[in-house]
Amino acid sequence: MTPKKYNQCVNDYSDALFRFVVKNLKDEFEAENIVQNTFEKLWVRRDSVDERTVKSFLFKVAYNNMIDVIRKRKQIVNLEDVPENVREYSTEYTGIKEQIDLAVARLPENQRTVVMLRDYEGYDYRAIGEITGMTESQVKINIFRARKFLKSYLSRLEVLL
Amino acid sequence: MKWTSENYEFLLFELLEGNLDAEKAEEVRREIEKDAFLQEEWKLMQQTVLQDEPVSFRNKKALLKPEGPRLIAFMPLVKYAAAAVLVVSVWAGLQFYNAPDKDLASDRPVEQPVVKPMEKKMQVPVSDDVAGMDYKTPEPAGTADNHNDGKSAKVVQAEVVLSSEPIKNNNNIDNIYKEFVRAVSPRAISGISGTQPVAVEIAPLNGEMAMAVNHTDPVAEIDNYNGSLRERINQGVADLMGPFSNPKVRISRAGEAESKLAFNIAFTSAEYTSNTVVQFKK
Repeated sequence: MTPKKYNQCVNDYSDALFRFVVKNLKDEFEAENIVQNTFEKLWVRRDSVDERTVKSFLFKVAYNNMIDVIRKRKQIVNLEDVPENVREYSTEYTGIKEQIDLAVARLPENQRTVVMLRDYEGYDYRAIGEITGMTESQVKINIFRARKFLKSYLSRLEVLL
Repeated sequence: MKWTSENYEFLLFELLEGNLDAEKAEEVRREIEKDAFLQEEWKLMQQTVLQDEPVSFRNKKALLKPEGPRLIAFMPLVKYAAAAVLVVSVWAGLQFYNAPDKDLASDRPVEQPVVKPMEKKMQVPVSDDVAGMDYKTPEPAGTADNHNDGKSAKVVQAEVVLSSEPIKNNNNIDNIYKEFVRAVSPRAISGISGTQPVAVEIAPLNGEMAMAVNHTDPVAEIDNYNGSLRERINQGVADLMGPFSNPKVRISRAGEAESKLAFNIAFTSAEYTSNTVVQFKK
């Protein structure tokens, strides 16, 4: 991969990659670090990464980094140390999109990841499986469970309103 | 196709995902049209698709690489040039050595060589705030000077306002340091109360980077201090400390404004020292 093609990848994919990570972690600082590390890995391995699968490579590396961060967070269960830049979500009703965001934030990590890759990036089950290490059927069932939860969340909102 | 309370959601899901062939999809659509409850459920299911939301990665420029020819292509020429310089130097040296020394024949007294005092190669400009703390820091294996191994350490005074500029370029030691400050100091500071006097020291201890807080015995303090915070700092240090030998960091409160907190960060290592004022948005 030439520097020009690498730069093209930065321009084409860094926004999507950042969105994927920041929406999962809800920590912009950590998300920026992960995106930067991911592109550094691409640069280091630019001669061995297949240009046709570079987007999947980026998402896979970012996903693995993200899982490491989530695992560390689970080990560090200390409410006093909440990072400053964790996004706070309003609980007031503002609109369907905001409510979906709220609901997505409540999804288990594996369901949130697959539904984001599906809807934001348009990946099929096989590609999502390659990124996350799940089988196609696991991907499908996780997307189904995620949508079922989101639907149920929205339906409760409609009752309340 | 039989619709039950158990499978209707799955059928709606399959329709939404485009997993049904044309015939089955049409059949599901017909069922939805016939039933008000299914219509409502289908509407909700469609709303579960996340809408595209443009997010911009602000540090994009820092990731870009120069697209010109790589410098490595010229390295063989440098090698030949160096060899040529060496040959010429040896030749010139031999010429000088073999030349008759006219001065030796004269009775001129031998001049004493002027010996200059060795300059201190490394200064650690620690701020008053930090220097004033009553630290009982365990001394490292040597002082900053003898860590230096003859290399001159770079001393930098800088002010960094975080979250304003993208920093990520590991080709440059200044940038590595800035990145270190960016990555480590928020981790150190985020767990510390806003009102207490703060001084944090991060230094090698038993093979890992460890942190001491305030002015009591650092070793005891490390043992007692919040473990998760230390772990986060260690992670930040481990990620970024590769280029530095014997790195030590002291962080202390430097001031407080309405919207910002300022910290002095004194960093020392064999290769690089600095005293930086870092401002954090509150």
